[in-house]
Amino acid sequence: MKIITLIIFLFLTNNASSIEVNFHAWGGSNNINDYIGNLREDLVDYGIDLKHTKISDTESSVNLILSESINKKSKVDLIWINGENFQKLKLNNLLYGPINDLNNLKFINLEDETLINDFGIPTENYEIPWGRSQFVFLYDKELLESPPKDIFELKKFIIMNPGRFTYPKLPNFHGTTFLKQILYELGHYNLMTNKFNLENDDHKNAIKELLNFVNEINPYLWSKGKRYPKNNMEMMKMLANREIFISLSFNPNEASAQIINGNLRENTGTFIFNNGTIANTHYLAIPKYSNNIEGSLIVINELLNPKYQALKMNPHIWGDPTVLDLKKLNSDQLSLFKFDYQNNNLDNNVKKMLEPHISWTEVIEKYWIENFN
Amino acid sequence: MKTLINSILILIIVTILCVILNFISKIFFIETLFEIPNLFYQYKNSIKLTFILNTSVILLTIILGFLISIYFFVNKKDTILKYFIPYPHISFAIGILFFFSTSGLLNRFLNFYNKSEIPLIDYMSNNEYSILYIISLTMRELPFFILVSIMILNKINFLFLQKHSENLKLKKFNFYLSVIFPLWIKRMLLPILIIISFSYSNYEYSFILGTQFPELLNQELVNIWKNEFHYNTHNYNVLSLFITICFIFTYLFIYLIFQINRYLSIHNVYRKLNINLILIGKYLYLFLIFIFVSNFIVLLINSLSTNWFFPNIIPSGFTINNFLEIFDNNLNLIINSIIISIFLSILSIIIFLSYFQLKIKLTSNYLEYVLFISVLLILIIPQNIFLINLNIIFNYLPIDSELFFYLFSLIIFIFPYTYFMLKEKFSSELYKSLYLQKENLKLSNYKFLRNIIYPIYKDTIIFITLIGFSVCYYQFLQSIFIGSGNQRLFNNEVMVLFSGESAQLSSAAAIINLLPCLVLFKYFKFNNVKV
Repeated sequence: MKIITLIIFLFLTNNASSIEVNFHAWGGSNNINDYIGNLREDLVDYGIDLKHTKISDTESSVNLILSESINKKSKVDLIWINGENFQKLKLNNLLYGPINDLNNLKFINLEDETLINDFGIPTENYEIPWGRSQFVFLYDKELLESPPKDIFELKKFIIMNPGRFTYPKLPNFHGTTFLKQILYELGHYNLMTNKFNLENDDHKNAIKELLNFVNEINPYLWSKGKRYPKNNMEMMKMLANREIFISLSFNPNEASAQIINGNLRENTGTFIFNNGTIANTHYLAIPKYSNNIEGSLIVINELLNPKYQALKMNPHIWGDPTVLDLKKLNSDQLSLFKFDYQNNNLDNNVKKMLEPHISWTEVIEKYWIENFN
Repeated sequence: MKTLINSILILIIVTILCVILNFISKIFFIETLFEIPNLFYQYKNSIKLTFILNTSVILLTIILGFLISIYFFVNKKDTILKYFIPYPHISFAIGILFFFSTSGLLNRFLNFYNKSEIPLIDYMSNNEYSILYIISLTMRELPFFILVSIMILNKINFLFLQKHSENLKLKKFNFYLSVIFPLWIKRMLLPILIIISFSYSNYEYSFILGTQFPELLNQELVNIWKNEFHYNTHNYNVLSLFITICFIFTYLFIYLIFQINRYLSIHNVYRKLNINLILIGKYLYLFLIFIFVSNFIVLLINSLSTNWFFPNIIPSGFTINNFLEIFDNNLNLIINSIIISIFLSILSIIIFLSYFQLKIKLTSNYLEYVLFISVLLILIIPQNIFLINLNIIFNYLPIDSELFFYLFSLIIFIFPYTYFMLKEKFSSELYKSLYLQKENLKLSNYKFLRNIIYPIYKDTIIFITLIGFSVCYYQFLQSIFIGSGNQRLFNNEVMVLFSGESAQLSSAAAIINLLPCLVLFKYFKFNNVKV
């Protein structure tokens, strides 16, 4: 009996904590897990026990927040979020905010349209920018000497190299973004800034054109388009082993970060189309019914600290572009942002395209699932 | 015929129970009925594949299980097989993927002829009716099945039957197929139902081998739970209904196959055949060893490598940093998982020891019947359906502790093993007389357990603790359904790491994951197991 009591005691003490902030963030990447782990150690000084709940998709956490809101509770204190997940929580009035009082918000340019609009929805400080993303293609330089400059060259590559290209199964956001990028390349960029309207012939034709394009490349995809990878991480492993020759990412510094960790070959390069690619931002948000709003605010403030933003941008650690306005930093802070970039990444000055109106995401996913699932 | 009726009855009880649980969870049954045709069309491919793949797995498991068991039974050897029983499903599936996938070790060996820097894409794992799924799930189910099968064979009077069949001048092939097999299969009803249930609740193989074939019903069910359940309960209900129907059809199909075999045996169709089944069993056993050992080796090499790109047979560099990184990030979780598993395993034994003490005082057998049916249903109902319904019920209870529910959802899957294994020993007259002596001597429960029960039943208690530990340690669906992702064991961490970019780290995690149970099972004596 004494042993059992001791085991219970050890178990309980092991789980005892100060102020626990339960942070729901994707846990598939060890770099990201390490980054959050380091932050956790620093937050102990603030009396905060940051618990990283490693999720494999954000949607399930959003559903958890929605279901718990009936009882005005939330097991989630802080969440890594953007796009339709943000929209879902904002529309249901389940986010704490607006968050205006954080000290480190002064480093962010809150007039930057790419930061204060999330897939066309004004953030209104119900979510705080955490990192920037741009849709990029990774490729094996030994197998592909000159990467495609537009979607038509990519189509040619796919047909010439059957089975060596694929994209993640929708509704995975990398898969959806690839299809949005096709629509942009087919000349519908301006059209897609407006809400999708089924009555509008131009909108209907755009979708029709997209489906025709996908139909044409489908037989030449990996596994003849019968199966698709679950996410871009699976594609990364396939690219490393040359099962496919091109992969997708939302991190322009992905190649160097993955090469440093031994996950990609050293001859991996990054390219985008001549017209540019879709860029967006990811954010941090606090559910309205969180028990630890104060603690979550401290965590967000720390994550906006130039020290942590620089660590996030460091390709040896994460390699994600910063949301801070570098002009607002002093010279000491600025020196933190100098890295030895490898020539595997893109320049920071490449063309960026805004996300289309969020309604297009739902329509693209719906039609793709109906036709290709 | 009696066996068929019994088994259909069990399955009907399962279905009724699912329906009752669904009603408890506020099902809009009419809406559910309307959804059936739509969802059938939507999941047609998944339903077809789930039925074909799982039925193939079960049929193969039974046939291979029988052949390996008789080889094993005749040779009476305590071998490497015991280490395969606690081999975690998630680690096994990751190992299978790295061995058989398009850029896996097998294709690298085959590439000796091709000498290409690029892997062939027309490879077996891309087949829609994935041979990879069938091989991996069959091989994973086999060790447990063989363990139970040998226990059953031990109960058959083998020597007596052998002597009579020699007198009748039956060939060995006919002896095994027409005499031993029917007796064996009749007693294997419960294990067969258990492996059907295992197959129909497996999520990890669909998830890990995911790109290799379309999503099966089990994975679709989990996806619905994670993404739509709170708005769309009828989709979940229809899917669980599809799974239950496939489950029943699989069982009936298997039953039909063995009835045909029985008919052929009775009509002497096999009389002219003379195949050495023991030899086939031996080669199958060697193949089983090959699969498990190669699985372990591929995980070990991957976890010790800096990187290991196609077509290299040997990695470009070796490091132990992957292990150090996993330990560094997850030591607390590993320790927690071990403590939780030991605690729940011992708690389960204490609960059932208390029950068997209580049972001596009881005059009626009703409690025993209820308990028996309950533990049987826990074993037979596919785990994902069971856990979703359990979660719905928990939501109506006024207890605000996720940890409590999580621990309960773990221990409930240890109960059946503890119950069945303790029942044999603690329903005996010996135990009754020991207990009466305890009452006369006015010994405390603790002293009775420490000084009398433990020394006498030491082997049984250690064995049950081992089984309970490994059952608990390798649970992961609870985290998704009950623990909201917050409560989890190290096994869940391996799954999440697998969805990341590093094959090396997920392999290191898979190796660390299998160590605790492999170490414990070193002390497990295969031939001593009698239930």
